Amino acid sequence: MAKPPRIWVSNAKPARGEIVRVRAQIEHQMESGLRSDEAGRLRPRNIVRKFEARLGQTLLFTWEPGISIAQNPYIEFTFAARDSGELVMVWADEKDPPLEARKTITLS
Amino acid sequence: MTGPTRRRVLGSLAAGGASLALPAMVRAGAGSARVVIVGGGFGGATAARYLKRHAPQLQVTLIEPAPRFHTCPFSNLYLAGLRSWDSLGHGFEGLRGAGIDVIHARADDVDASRRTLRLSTGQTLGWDRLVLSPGVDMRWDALPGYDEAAALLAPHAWKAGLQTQLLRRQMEAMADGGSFVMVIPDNPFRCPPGPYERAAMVAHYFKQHKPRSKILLLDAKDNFSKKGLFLQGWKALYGDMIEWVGLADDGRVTRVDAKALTVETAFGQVHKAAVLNVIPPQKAGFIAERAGVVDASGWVPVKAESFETRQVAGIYALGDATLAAPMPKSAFVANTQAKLAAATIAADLLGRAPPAAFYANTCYSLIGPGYGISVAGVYRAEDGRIIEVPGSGGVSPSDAEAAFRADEAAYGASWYAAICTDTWGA
Repeated sequence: MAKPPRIWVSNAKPARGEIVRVRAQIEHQMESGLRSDEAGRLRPRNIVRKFEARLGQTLLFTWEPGISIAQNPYIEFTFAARDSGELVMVWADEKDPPLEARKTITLS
Repeated sequence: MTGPTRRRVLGSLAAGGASLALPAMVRAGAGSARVVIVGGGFGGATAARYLKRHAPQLQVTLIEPAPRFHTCPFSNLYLAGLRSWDSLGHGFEGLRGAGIDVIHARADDVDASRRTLRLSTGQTLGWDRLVLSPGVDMRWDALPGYDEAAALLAPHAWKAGLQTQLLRRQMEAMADGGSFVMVIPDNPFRCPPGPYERAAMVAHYFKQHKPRSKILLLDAKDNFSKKGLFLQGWKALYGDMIEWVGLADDGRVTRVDAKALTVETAFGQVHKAAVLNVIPPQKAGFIAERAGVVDASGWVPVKAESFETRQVAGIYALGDATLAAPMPKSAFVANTQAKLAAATIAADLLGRAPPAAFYANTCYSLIGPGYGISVAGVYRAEDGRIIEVPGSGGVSPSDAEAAFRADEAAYGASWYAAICTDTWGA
């Protein structure tokens, strides 16, 4: 998990009720646990097990990627802007500390 | 490489064809059957010629709007200044000489139940078998800001014609030090190595005429055909002139402003171009939709052993319009599919056993004069699917000497001459 997450929102200052589109991507190997190394040993599994998006205290949704998800997982979603708050996205894998990305959303 | 295997495969197909062509084996009545083919490119023109060869009594009609067909293969060399425009054009005298009725019109509609095809001239043709080889159409709704009007400012040049000539004029008009930006779609699309060969050919032109210019490739995917060989060749011939940005580095373009010559990526980076070449997502040519043979993907699913469409019996589809993975959307593949479909249709109409379904592909790419690379594969139908014959394919070695690259550049030129002769005759 070298680089910070990459995120984009269609509008950080939406009108109340406006649909905001979010794109988010991290660099991650998504090691499935099914590949072997040069010596023929299985590489230990390490995938992103949980992705969570919140606006302030409100949980927008969670995603639990499986081993079939490609490396550098990309997700795009929308939500209806009902409150101002900080959009917080968290990726947790099976090895390293979770990655986090934040973006302030202010109703206009 | 696959030379011997390929020769053996094609040889057995040709042998099958020769026995089909014997007049004594033609059943009474079958000779009056009519096959109509839409599209005069590598798929359609090959199918027409090989049908006539297998069964001279068949009425074969080919529909193609252009009096001369200009090929996408080698059109990148035209951009580089290494080929003339005229050398990419192929007429239909060879087909007419072979007894094929060539009509220069657009195919507008298909009635699959009545078995008719309506042309832009108002004429309606009846058919016993219909072969669609319409190539690709651009999906104008897929990339916000990029429609037919935008293509006049930021050409795709992904169908050889006015678009290709427009892109060349824009390169000529560009000042030294400008930025040539190319937008590359996700798979599947026509000619998987094409964008990367184009980058090299544009670089060849810049190196001679505008050496301070840059080429930026914004790609919607992380891997591409012959990637290692291209990266190596670009570096060897053009240094840092070509920069490739893949999906993982925010290379996917999500919006185009053709007037401003800017593009915006998925994560909001804006790139400004002096010349903007947008290759948008594609789908099967329009007439395939009218015939009802496309699925939700926009492409034509086909039977692996015959290239008859899965949706409509009696209608065959060839080339870039089809879903034929793992075969790529290439000229060679369209040509090889056309030979198989022609042999199948002839066998069907003459009451003979169908041929065994083998297919082959070779794609040459030119990185600079005397520097060529290639990829090849052999395929067959198995249990209704197309599979790559294990151990058949390969790409050029990564550690080849200069003489090897020069040979492959020459093989590429020979390949073009040979396949054009095979497709259009003379």
